[in-house]
Amino acid sequence: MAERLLDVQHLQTHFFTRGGVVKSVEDVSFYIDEGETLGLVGESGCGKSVTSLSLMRLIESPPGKIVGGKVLFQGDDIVQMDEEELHKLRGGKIAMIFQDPMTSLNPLFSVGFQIAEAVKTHLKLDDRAATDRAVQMLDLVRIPEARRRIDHFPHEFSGGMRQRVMIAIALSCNPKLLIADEPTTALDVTIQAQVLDLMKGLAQEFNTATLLITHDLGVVAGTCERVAVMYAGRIVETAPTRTVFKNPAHPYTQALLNAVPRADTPRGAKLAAIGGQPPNLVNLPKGCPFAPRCRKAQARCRVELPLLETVGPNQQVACFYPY
Amino acid sequence: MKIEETPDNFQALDTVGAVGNQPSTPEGIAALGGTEQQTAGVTQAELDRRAETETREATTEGQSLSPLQASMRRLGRDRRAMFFMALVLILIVVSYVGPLVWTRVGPTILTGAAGLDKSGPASYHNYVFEDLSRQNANSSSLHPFGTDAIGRDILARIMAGVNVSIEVALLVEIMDIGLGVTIGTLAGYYGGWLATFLDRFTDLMFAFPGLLFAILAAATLGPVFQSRLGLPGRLILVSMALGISVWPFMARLVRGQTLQLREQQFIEASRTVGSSNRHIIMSHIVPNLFNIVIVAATLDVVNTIVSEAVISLLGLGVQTPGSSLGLMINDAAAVIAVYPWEVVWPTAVLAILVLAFSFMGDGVQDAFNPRTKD
Amino acid sequence: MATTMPQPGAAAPAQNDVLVDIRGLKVHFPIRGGLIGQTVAAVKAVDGVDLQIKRGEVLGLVGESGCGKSTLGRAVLQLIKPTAGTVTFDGEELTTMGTNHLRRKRADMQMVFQDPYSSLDPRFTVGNVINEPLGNFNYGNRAQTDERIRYLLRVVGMSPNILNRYAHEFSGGQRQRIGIARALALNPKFIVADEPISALDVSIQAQVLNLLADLQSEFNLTYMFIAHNLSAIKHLSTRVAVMYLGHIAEIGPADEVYANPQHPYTIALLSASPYPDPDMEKTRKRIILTGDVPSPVNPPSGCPFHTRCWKAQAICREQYPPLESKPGTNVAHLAACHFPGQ
Repeated sequence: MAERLLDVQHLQTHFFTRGGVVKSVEDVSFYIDEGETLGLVGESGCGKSVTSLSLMRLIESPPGKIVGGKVLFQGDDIVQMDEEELHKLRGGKIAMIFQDPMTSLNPLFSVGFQIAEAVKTHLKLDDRAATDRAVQMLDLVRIPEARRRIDHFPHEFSGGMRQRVMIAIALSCNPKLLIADEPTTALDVTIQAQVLDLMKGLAQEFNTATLLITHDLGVVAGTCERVAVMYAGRIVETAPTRTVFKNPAHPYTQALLNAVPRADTPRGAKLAAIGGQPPNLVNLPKGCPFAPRCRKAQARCRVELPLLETVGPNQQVACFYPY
Repeated sequence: MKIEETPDNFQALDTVGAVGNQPSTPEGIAALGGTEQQTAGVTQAELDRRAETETREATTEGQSLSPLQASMRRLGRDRRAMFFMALVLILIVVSYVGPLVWTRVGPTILTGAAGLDKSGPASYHNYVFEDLSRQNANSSSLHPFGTDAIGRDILARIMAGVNVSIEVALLVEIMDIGLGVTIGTLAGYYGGWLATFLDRFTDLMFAFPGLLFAILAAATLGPVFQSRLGLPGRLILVSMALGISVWPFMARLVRGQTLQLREQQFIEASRTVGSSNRHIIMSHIVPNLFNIVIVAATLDVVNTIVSEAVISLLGLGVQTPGSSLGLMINDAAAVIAVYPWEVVWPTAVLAILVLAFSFMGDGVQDAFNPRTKD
Repeated sequence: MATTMPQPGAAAPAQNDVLVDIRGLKVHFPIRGGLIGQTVAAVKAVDGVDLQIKRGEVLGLVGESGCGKSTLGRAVLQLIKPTAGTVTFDGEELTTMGTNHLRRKRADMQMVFQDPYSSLDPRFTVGNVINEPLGNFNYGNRAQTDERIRYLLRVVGMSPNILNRYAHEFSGGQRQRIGIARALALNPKFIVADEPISALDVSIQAQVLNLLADLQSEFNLTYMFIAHNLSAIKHLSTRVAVMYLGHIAEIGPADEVYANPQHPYTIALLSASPYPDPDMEKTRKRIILTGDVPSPVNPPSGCPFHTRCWKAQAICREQYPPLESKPGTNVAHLAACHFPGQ
């Protein structure tokens, strides 16, 4: 049995703005075992990116603040760590890649230097060994002529290559956990396939657990073992991937799946769109946040908040009327 | 040939009032024709269903603010900016209304070198009146700020000087905004030779400081303007010289913004729905320039006021008996050791004026360009 | 309208069921450089496209970023001047049309934009936005215009009460609806929808797709639907054209192209696009292309896809394959490949 690597318990991150308190993450609990890939799915503004930044304690403060909950990484609570411990953690045991590879690479330094910098800090390697490691990593992410390309600058790489460089930097220190926040959203389909394929292969090779944050259910279906679905700052359903797609319990998960045209959807047939708009995170409705858009909502849903409960093997859902 | 080809659909649009018109694309006209035909394509129930799903929340919220209203509200909440804006307004009102009151306040006194002329406040509280019996007078109830070397009331002269500062600033801003926005927008929108000309002209102005240019212009052309147009001639000359030196910077700013705006999809969308270039510039580009222009203009006022003072200080601006804060400082500089207040008063007012505009400008910048702050 | 003008340069007269006839269309963007700003190279965004769009059909145009699909859409509407080739719309040649005539013609051909944020002027109210086309074409008096705007808002599923509100108060999906209402205002015959759903959330994408489908049948519209999302394209389109580096690689009836793709690029694209079904994802064969899309400044010789193609032979590097029907496929199904099929 794999060991529990990350255990997030009732995480709460709020932003204190002039317009009011934005409850971006209101109650998020999930876990990741060693070597496992968890997909965190949700629409923009549901709090999935804030969750990932909270895990790394990268929330800008002010206005943001983790106001509650625990993030246990190998048993230690990241929320309580001081700067020095965090520094060791970030890029060392937990690495992160973002949606836009251009802004996360420093345009003034060669990519080789940027990889070497990371490994020197965390693996305590000397210059020569660090350079070798950089070449080795670029090779691993299938950048041709790695020995020559390490001296190139970020702008000399295409979008797909830059994302692969980011993966190289992220994995260069053998992290236990890789957080990938919409890593392929900015990429084309064929390039996305390359990058996902690469991430999957390398995660297995390095036995790295992955938290894949995405809005694309297709990406999740092909890469993740388990899925957590987020809505309005809460996890509304979590289950093994196959269960989520074949037997979703939460009406929101069901609606998300039905909103995407499938191979057998006849041309021009009505898609089961979710009416309305995602809720405003400052003024959340009482009760279940999805109730105003939910087809199954009853009176109870509008006054009482459903909590995550186990409904099937390894499947938890926050809904009074699941399935 | 081309004219005969006018598409039927368009024809129908032009003559929309004439219902009897027989268009060749019936479904095209049905929806354009009138209310009873509008539901030709969509059933009423379908429309109701759609409206129901989409805008539930939108209709329940309060009235919305235009971007301008939102900026004004932000400015209104900025206490510091409001304080300095009030100060600016007070200075302006006092400098214009003040003389009307001031020339009616005070007893009839004896003035003149021999002290034999009977004068009322209409004379001795006029900024050009020389009371040779009261030269370099100390502060008194008659002359609260004292008098200068030829017995003129300093308070009256300061008010007249502030008028000049404001008028020069106004003239310069009219030129700055008029030329800057027109040329900047056209150069940004169309590019071409106008853009090249603007670039070269701005480079020239960068290399050749505007103030220096204005000083040279005032020195060489000053007498000509004064002889043709009288005393205001100098003021107009200084304003024009300053205006010429500032507008290229406004134009460059405006051009940059126009280039950015031109790439926005709403410009393309406007073209797609048949807008002319003129329409696009007037209704999409210029209104969206408002924020940066208002911010730049407010900050430019500070420079203009200082520049005018410097030119007058050098004796190239407003000439005596006219008044200007710079000219007053210049006049009093000779006697600074003996009668320091004659320098202190105009200097202090100039400083307050400049600071008030500058803090107000900061506030305007925060209110109209909130993104620059964080 | 029935009498078609003989167009210089166009080989065949436009048939009545063809609404848009594109022939030999090229759009090259010059790259200026050197001392005197001379043209040193050109981005060949669209490099010779022939395409006919029939009345009432939805032509899906799919391809990756930089393949020229958006440029093609804009060149058809004359928002970008084509470098070469002709575009005949409803029997009239657009590329040589005078500015004023073209502006009036725009009533018939509209566009829905990708970015719901930048496509609405922040200083315009919803009413202003929809009024703009009506004002340009002197639609009618104040009351008539108002009535029309309210009607259009209801057509796209928005409440007419939002007329005086500013676009920034609305979410992406709602803004996209407002943009669609603007496009419908003049009762166009043809709409180019340039990635209309790619900036929207999954749950909102379905709303907008449904709306576009409804409007097409209600108003008898012809669409050119540009997207990189293959399932959205398939859902809406009757015909699909796949673009690669400024060329059409494959075109045909949507079901045909998806079921029996001929061009290796189409095959790779279909195989690479993720599918929301874990079982299918596990079992299906995936083709992972190596490398990136080459630069359209220096496109490869011969078939532009040969640098990434696993079937490429010598001939592919030398000769551009003609776009033609391949054995065993529908006659309307064309592919530009020397070695077509699975």
